[in-house]
Amino acid sequence: MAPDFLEQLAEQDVPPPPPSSEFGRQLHQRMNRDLAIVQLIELLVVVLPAALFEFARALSGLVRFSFGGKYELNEKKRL
Amino acid sequence: MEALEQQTDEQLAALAAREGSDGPAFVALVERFRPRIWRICFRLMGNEQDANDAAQEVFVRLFFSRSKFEGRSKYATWAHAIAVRTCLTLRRGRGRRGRHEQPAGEENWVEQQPARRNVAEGLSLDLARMLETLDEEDRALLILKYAEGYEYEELAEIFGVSVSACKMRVSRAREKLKALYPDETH
Repeated sequence: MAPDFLEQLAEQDVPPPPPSSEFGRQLHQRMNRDLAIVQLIELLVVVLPAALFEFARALSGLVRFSFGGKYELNEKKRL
Repeated sequence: MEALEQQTDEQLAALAAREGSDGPAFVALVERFRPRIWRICFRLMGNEQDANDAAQEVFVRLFFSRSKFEGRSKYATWAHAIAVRTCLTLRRGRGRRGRHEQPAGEENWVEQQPARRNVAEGLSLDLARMLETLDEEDRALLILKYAEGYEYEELAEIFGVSVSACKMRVSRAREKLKALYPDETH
């Protein structure tokens, strides 16, 4: 019986992987770059909006206290 | 504490998930899986340069998803599945770029890539070209099955399909190649 034509695939030589030190160095650089990008995105999308929201809350409290003379920390107390 | 080298893959993965950065457990996982991931990447990407790039991308993805491993399969199978998906994504992206840059030269694109020419050095050029005609997933299935000797059960877990669906896809891919290249596949 003739050998399966796809069995030729197993005959392809696979070169040895790159040296551990070189591969590790490149991987470390890549990981640092990706981590920096992820953290930058997190800063822009999560941290800055949250900080701005808190700042705006404090500012609106200041304005309300200045003009109304009162600043209620807990909105539920009004009910 | 037991030395990292003596830990199982799953134990190392659990340790790596608790590490804040690429600490000793993750480094040990990289060292343990580097040869196997490299083989998969080389088989699927077809040349050393792309395989190196893909292998690094695989480990970056393993790092970012290290806390998502739930232990429902072996860690090796999970890592191999990520390797296969990464290679497929990279190949699809490369294919799109190739088509975008050379809309008229689709057929010659494989030959025109200097790095990809290496594919033919150890493998029949005809077979490499034949496999390029298949859908990316079918090509990967055939390569992992026949070049790397994966069992259908492992392939089913890697590709997220049932064993019977996996057998069916391999069979259909073979039939497609036979229909397209009757002379080369007799």
